[in-house]
Amino acid sequence: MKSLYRFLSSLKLTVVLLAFSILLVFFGTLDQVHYGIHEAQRRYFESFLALWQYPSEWFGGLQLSWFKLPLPGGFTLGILLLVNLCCAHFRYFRLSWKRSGIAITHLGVVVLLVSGFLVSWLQEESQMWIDEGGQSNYAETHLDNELVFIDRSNPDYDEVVSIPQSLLRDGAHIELPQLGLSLNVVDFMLNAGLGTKMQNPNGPTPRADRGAAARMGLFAVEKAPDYSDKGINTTTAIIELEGAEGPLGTWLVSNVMDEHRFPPQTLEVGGRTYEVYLRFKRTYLPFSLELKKFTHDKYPGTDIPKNFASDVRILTPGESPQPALIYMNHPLRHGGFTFYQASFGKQDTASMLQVVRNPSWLVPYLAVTLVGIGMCIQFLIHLVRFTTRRSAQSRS
Amino acid sequence: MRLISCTAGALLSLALLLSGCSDEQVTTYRVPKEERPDLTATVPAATPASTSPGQPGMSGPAMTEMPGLAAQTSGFQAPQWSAPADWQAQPLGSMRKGSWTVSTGSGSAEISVLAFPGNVGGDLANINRWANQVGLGAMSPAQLDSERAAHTFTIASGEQGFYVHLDGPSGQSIAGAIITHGGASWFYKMMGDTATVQAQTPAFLEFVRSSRFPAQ
Repeated sequence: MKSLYRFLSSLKLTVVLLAFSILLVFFGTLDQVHYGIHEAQRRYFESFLALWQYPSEWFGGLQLSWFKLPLPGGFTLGILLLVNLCCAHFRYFRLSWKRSGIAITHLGVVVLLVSGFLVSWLQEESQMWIDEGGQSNYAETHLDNELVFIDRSNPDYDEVVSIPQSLLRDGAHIELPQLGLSLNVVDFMLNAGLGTKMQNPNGPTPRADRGAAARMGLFAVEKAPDYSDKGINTTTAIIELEGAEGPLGTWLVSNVMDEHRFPPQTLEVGGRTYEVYLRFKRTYLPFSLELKKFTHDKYPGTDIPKNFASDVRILTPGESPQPALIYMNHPLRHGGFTFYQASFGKQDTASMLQVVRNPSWLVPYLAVTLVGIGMCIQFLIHLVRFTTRRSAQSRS
Repeated sequence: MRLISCTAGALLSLALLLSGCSDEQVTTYRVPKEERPDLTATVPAATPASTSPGQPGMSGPAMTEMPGLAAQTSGFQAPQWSAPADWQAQPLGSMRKGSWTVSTGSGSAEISVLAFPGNVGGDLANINRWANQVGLGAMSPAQLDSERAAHTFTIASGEQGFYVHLDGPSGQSIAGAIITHGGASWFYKMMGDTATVQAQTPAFLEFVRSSRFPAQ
């Protein structure tokens, strides 16, 4: 136990961990080209083990692409650095007023490491499109999907049963007692190309025997996932549904068959009608944003953007509307969400807001403040000691 | 040493928490009634959304353009046609193969040509969606059959299509035509003030008939 304590508190371990951190950042940055920023972040910095593979397009790639380099992931390094810092602190550090600055700085670094975990665990990012004159009460992310069954029969609200994408694996069986049916995932494709038999008579036989895909002779062919920053995967699944009275057919659901493009696929079970969608994962807000006006200023005589701004109103049920202006580097913080001006479209008549929910957003500020205060205190202590010694020397 | 054990225990719990919390579950929730989008009217003239500089986080793709469908429909080659000179051309997108506006003394109208793979839910569903846009009730299958029998035409490259004219009670009208070509449905639509749509209908039909799809 003593040797473990010595190992965990070793300053050599600190150096090794920091060296691995540099390697992780290096290889993670290299792989951003292949996986895009979000997937690279997930594979390298939000994992316990990362694997870097020699790229096939590099020199000698055909011969060397089998080579995989295992690296400790961000979570592993973060936890070990945290343990190492705590152990080293208690092994080597004796608290005195002369070292109080160092203690505060260490505390700040600990809080900073913890905030890293909290952010990767708690932070959610999504996007909200609003047309001028329109409003929205949800944000959605194109990085994740959900299979939803929507009952619109109630005049006051819609009831949504949502199955996260992470449960939709090949061969998965999901019981949905709230709908009175069960679901088998026949095939799940993170990215797929859709085609019709009319267009491609030589294409594979359509597998759906119910819904829009059956009517249209639609088939899906799996494709390699697109990890580029601007890429969106056509996530598609073939599902079998079964009710209490027997099979309800095989359905093709795809996030490309969204409510803006296709009539809804409807399913009747237990006397109720449900619309079925595989759609981008939505986060509903307890309020709506209304876009009054989107402004896109350019520098005179050029197409170079000068400013983007969304003039919005926050509409909360039972409260009077609150005006707000969201523009570059000036987000709106409301109800635990932060809205950044992120993009625009439709000839400057639609605005896209980046919606970030991060309950731990204050923790990094606290950590940096602690580190700053600690360093200032330590610097002042050294300065006072230095000037005192200097004046004593000059007196003698 | 006890402190170390506590620290290690807390960190192990944190690690387990981080890995355990990623297991998502089926959820049920209620949302306020949503305004249902209109299928063909809301397809945007695709201007790729630009990403504003200096913002944190991910850059936003143009989510109004769905990639798989956009990729498919962008491969549909628009036919050659003769659009009237007084129609003002508008920007196009992957699904919007033709777009114009026309203004007359009595109002204005928008003309669009959209292409979708397959039959997009069937003719009846799409015609009824148009009817809904101008405040008319749904057409029955029998009514659609009689409309089709009465208004079927052949375009320049030989494909057959049919058109409907829908005058709504609110002063808005639609003249629309549907042509099937190469496994895709082509929706020609003129929507606007009733007087303008009525005045422009002969020119619209002439435009639709002039369509010449490339040989496959």
